[in-house]
Amino acid sequence: MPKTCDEALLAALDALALEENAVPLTGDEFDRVLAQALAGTDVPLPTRQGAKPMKKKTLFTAALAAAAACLCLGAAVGWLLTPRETAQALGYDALADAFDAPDAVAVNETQTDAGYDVTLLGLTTGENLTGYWNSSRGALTPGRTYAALAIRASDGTPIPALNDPGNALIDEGLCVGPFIEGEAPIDCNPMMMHPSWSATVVDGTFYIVVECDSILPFADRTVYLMVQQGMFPDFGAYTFDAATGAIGTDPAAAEGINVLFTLPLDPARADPAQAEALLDEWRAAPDTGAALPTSPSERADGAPSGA
Amino acid sequence: MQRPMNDAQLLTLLQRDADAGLRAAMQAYAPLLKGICRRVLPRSPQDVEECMADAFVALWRHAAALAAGQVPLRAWLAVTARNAAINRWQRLRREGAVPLDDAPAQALGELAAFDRPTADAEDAVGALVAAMEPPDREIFLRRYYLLQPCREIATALGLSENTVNVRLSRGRERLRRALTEQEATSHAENL
Repeated sequence: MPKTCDEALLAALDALALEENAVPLTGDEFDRVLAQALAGTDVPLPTRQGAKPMKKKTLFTAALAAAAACLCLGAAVGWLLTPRETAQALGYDALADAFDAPDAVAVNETQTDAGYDVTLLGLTTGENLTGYWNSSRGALTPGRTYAALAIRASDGTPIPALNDPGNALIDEGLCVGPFIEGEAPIDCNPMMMHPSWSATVVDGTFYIVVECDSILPFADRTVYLMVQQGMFPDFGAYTFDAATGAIGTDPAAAEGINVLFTLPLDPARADPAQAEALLDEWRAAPDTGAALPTSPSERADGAPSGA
Repeated sequence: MQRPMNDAQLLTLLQRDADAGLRAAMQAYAPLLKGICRRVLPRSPQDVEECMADAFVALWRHAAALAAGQVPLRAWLAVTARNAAINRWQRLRREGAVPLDDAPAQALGELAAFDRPTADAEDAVGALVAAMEPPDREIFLRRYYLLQPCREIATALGLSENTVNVRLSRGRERLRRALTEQEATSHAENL
């Protein structure tokens, strides 16, 4: 198999004595860069009892506490927090108000998979309502889309608190975010959309607010919301019909939760020009600047990955 | 004494334990990334740190794919950090936060003439540079991927600074021609 262009360039660079470019870091520098890098991963940060629930700045995946053998009758009741209450539980008052705004959408759709009931509670879009900041965010300011979800064990077993160290499934992760009709998940996915999330557990139910760059400009297409268990998103767990642009789940491809909601967006709010600009910006995200290997499983068309 | 990890071990650790993996990756590669980012952003130590962090987050995000492709991490991180720093520099420039006589301006201005217009073209440039004969390939890699000053390149390769400048100028012209020919071929094939 011939080497791809990207591989050839990296091999040529790797052949150089790159270390002559090195500049040692001070201990403080090392600590600051490490802290910033960790803030961009999904390493669970410990939370204190009574402290504000776990919040990360640039995260996309969440360590998910699964059901444990702790009996708690309250977890089996049918009610869930509203999107407003979910935002309030996370300390986001402005977002709580936005979930009550006229253009917010109450969804309340539940899908069951892998022993969990996943409920999309609602959606809203607005200017930065949670103080999100990302150093790599581009020049466009399309606003932010927010989704509130609730996840609970189908058998009613309560989900332990986020910082419960005794949970056997704490190492699992959760990936949540949009896909857009017509864009293959491997090429256009939440990882590019400046995602962030906040989560908490209330009465044995896991609540999460996920946000990313506004997907309203794409409202004239079908926009999906993926919810997938796992530390890294497995885009092979989704089907993509290149002819129609439709995206679906492949139940056989992933273990754990793997569901896809269709978001009820108002097509009148679409802005195709801004949608194209957003796609360009997402594709040009700095963390995708270096070449990744291209493999048939990643890109069926054989095009250079570039992302 | 702890033995240094190889790339495969590092990527495995990153996927299993992000904290430990990032520490190990930084110990191995942070000085290289700092050196590259500093060349683009010599007066912005905070931006340098943020670009380094962005590169290590990218490493964490792409750990599985990098492992599957057996990609040389050192070079991949160098390019990723370089691109993050260039993006930051361009943004600062748009905001008027970088002086016009800033040292990297010349190299980045030369770069803009043929690099990064589209993802495909960037890929093509990378292929053309990789296919250059020595010493032009190393001169180009040092100048446009490691952002080294011409004087430094000349010293490292035992050439005069003028020779480096001339080779860069001729090489850029060859690249422009090659990209134009590729574009024309692609256009003709699409007719």
